Amino acid sequence: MQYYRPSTLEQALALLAEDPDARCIAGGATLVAMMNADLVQPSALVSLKGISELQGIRATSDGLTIGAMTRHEVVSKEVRLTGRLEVVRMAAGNIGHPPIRSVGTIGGSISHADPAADYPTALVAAEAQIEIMSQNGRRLVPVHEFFISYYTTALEPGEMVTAIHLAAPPSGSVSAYCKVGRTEGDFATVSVAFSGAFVDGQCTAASVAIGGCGEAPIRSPEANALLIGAFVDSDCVAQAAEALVNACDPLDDVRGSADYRRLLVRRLLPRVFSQASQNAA
Amino acid sequence: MTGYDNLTPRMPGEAPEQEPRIDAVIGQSVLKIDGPAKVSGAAVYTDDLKRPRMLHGALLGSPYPHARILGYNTSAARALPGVKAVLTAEDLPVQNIGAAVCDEPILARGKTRYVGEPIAAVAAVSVAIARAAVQLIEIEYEELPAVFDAEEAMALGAPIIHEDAGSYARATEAPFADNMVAHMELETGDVDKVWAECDHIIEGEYAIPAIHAQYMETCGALAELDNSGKLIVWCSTQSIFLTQLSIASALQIPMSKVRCITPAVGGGFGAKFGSVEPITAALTLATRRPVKLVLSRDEDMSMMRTRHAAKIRMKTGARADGTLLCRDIDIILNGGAYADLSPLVLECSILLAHGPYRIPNVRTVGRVAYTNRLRAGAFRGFGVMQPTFAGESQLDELAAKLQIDPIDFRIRNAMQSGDYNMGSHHIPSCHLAECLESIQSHPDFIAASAERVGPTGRKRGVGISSVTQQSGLFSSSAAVRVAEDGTLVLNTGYIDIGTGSDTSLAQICAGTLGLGVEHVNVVAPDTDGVAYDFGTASDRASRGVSESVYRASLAVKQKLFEFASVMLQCPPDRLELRPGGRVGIIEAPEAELPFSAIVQWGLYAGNGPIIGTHAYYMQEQKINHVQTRSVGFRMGGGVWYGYGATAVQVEVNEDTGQVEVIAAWHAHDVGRVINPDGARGQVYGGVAQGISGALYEELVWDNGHLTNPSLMDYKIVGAPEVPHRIHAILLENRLPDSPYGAKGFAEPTIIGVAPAIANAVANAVGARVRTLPITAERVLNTLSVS
Amino acid sequence: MAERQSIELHINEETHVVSPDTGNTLLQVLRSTLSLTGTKRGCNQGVCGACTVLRNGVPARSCLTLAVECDDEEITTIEGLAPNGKASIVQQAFVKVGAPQCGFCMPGMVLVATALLREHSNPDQAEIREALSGNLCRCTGYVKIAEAIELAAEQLV
Ligand code: FES
Ligand code: FES
Repeated sequence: MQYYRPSTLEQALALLAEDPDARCIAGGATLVAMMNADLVQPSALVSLKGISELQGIRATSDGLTIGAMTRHEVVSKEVRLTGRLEVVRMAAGNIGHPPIRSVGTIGGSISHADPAADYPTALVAAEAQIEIMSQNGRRLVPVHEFFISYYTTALEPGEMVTAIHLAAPPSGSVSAYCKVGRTEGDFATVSVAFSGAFVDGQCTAASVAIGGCGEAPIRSPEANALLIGAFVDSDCVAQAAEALVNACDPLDDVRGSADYRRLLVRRLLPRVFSQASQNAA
Repeated sequence: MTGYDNLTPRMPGEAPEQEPRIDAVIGQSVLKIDGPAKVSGAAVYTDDLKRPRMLHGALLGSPYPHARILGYNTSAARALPGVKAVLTAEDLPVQNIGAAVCDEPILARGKTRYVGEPIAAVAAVSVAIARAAVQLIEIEYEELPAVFDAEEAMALGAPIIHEDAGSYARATEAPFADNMVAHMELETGDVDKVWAECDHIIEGEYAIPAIHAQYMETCGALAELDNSGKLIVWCSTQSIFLTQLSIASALQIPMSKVRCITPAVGGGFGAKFGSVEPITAALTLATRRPVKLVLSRDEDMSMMRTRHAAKIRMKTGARADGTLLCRDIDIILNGGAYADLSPLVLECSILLAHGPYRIPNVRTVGRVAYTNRLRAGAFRGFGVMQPTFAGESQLDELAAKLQIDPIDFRIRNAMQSGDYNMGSHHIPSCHLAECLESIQSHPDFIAASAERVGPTGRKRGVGISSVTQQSGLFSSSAAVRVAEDGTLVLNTGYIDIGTGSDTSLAQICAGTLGLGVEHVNVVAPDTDGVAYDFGTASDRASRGVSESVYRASLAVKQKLFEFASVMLQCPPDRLELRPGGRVGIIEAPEAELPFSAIVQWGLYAGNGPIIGTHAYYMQEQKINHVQTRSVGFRMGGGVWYGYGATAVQVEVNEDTGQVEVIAAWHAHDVGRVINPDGARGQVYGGVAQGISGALYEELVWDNGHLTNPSLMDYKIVGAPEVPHRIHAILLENRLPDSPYGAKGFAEPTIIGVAPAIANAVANAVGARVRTLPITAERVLNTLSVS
Repeated sequence: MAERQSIELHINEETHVVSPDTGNTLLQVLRSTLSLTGTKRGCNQGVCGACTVLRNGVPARSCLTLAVECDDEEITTIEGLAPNGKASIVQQAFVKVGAPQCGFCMPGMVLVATALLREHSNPDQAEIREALSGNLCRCTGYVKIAEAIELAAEQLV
């Protein structure tokens, strides 16, 4: 297996273009575990650690850009992630354990596309845009189109995730995040991420995503529409949960049955919604 | 390693600054002798060893739960550069091994009986090549129908897993048939007659899953040939002698040609009674080179052993005044594809299924089945944990019906010293009621019992369980020699797998001879040593082994006195031991000799070396056939019972069903604490492991394939899941015939945790979960039913 | 940029030049190439923490770290905490409270504790449990490990 450590993005993209079986290595948390278990055998590894363009969080004219190599720990402490973007910070703080957060990166995590992981759900709620580059250029993909299926993303051969773009949060917007796992640091049995806004206790904007309940984060425009205009005790909240349940396609696995997951969606959505409304107040 | 003031050795024979008691080290939190090595990375475990020209082993596991092996093609694997040997059953003697039933080939022969069963082994110059070679082995199979459930396996028409079961040698007299490994019954009183006298009866079915011990160090071995052609096998095992025996018999070589040694062992919890040692030894014999084979976590989880999954049907009756009258129990254990220690585990299940209570009428019927799953074997709690979960759950349900406090109910029915277990086995010392009372009156427990909701409004509850377990099996021995400088060499063959036994045994030896533990050289377990020991099980360190060490030390004392009497010209009965390793004349402070002078006199002028030995067998308690009817039951080894109680406080999230343990109490009559810090450590560990099994752990198979063979998918508790507050209450009611009065206690600390949690969940939210683990999902399902 | 390349690892203040395969983890290099066997392999999947080392001072799982990624980095293994056999305060505290049982998790635990106490001189129980949350121990129930950290914190002030 070849190992490359380019110092510029350009070099990295050239290497990926040359060898379609090469894999990028970011923090390594996921990729090395898979290599240890013989689940992947890349022909070459392109290390991203020397590429400064991929590091860190920058304010842009219309929001924030998180470099693909930004570690979970850094995101979990980023004070500029406020309002409807705070959900991303909350998710980052929920990933695994401190030694995982100090190594794992946001680009690595979302490229792995485990639907039970924390970031995908939060980024869908926050309506992020994924910046993807290859030698042929740069494209932006809305995050819900980025996650296609279990461990499958919209990345084409030769492409890599370079950044996550988050539109500046409207003032007064809020977030809430809730994850149920078996133990602390586990992947989600179910997670619910909410970004939105409230005025006088009434929801004025809503974007919900559910993790662990299907091949990709679950979203439901119908659920979002039901929540807009709702108060914490409105019947609409339960209806929105039902809409989300209908959009889910959970599996039975060691973390819980499909039925249990549906039940959790029904129970967690009102909790998250009311948490968000409290955060707004 | 240096740097610890209290480890700076004083030379033996030097008088200590102030004169302590001879046995000053007994009951002291003496620092563990292996502590410094273990915190500095210096402790050596099997996988840390490296030998010249060493090869690496790898195993091929069966892809099918049940299949006939039609043929092997190993030529591609053999042709891979770097491969030195490829073994299948065809290369090995036709010989099964198995402690209770001789039913298991070290590599599958003719048939494979579970997914993961080792079927071929490779030795190569690197791990990578060995693993690559394994992938090149082609095996032709004919898949056979498989059966995974114990009851289905014993039903008529089930696929037969061992066609030759009738011809296997057995160390058990229990009846067996087809897929039934053993059937046993134990009955006292007249169960059927007394139901009519019961005012309240509780009946239920309980399910306990298979779990894995998850010792942090996976199983492994390193074998090589010494100058005389003897196999030396370093292994991570709980018994070097059983391991030596299994290697010798599997490979059909004399035991004199096998030497087993244990370096540090990274946990066992019962489940390390023999693993890959015979296969590793076979690879060494085939290559004449050292071979190391260490399993990966997923291999260990699919190839080694589990705790028995159980289904228990139980019915308990009591009078309105709170007297237990009757209990009827049916136990079905899933033994997996090979018997391993299943018959013994069943025996212990049967023996204690009625709990530590005076119940005059008890009937227990137990069966263990072969299935096409990973074998089940010894595991902390050895067969007692499963029926205790059922029995202690039922006691709370009965207490609710009777409107009695669950602890009062238990105290009222608790066994007492002098009682007979199942009408047969004498119990010299039982302080269960005291254990229960010590929790009941614990201020934190009183406060917890009154607390119905937690700070966030979630419901809280408390639960209790009594605990009992038999302990002290089979044989042990000790040899103590005095070295020229007056220090001691202690050889037992007993393996400290993390229980602190090296330190506590050193304390017994040192305390008997007036020295400090730093003067005791605890010899690493080695079958070439002089002492024999059955293995690390059943809290044997505190019973059989310590007895041997104590008596061997007394024998040394006697020799010291004998020699000193000649040297000091004074009759032995006028001599005394003095702290620090001296023998002196009573009331003559100046007249004394250090051990070094005495031993050197023996070596060079007098009566030879000073060596004390003792061999011990824990006397078997027989069934009294007048009081007790039995089928297939023969308690091999001794039977001695210990008692304790566990309580927990839980908080239940009624939205998600998640259960959090807020606090735990474990009270145990330990007889005498030899090392308080060590003892508390054992309690904490047992309780945490109990929480883990109660709430999270389960091996899940799908058509015979393990679906969660990693610590990612199979969860055990981390620090956040274990309460900060675990109260270890150690009660000391000394056992008269035990050295310093100690009783075993470490193993059973796990037993009461699951029932206590089930009872606490019921106490908090009214949901009675009868299936382990008590997952969030099960709690919610039960809540929605009730 | 070859299959094997020579890298420099600064381990416990000594520089080692090694040439691992790209796929070799730091854990493999430490244990097999450098015989630093105090770093343990419990799972090789990043779950147990037995393989913890300090990478530039921060606890990291050496089984999830490729050796080539550590070129020119500072690595501290358990052997590095007691140069010349003089145990650190944290190690002494672990021994004093009797934390080690089987000991297999201990190198990882001691390193995590060391890193925690460098960051927070006086951690509370919650911070201690959080710091330990990525390291599994099957023997101790974590109680005495947490006790050891409290004791070490007292002694470090
Ligand atoms: S061996 Fe690295 S985390 Fe388990
Ligand atoms: S001491 Fe055994 S795993 Fe921690």
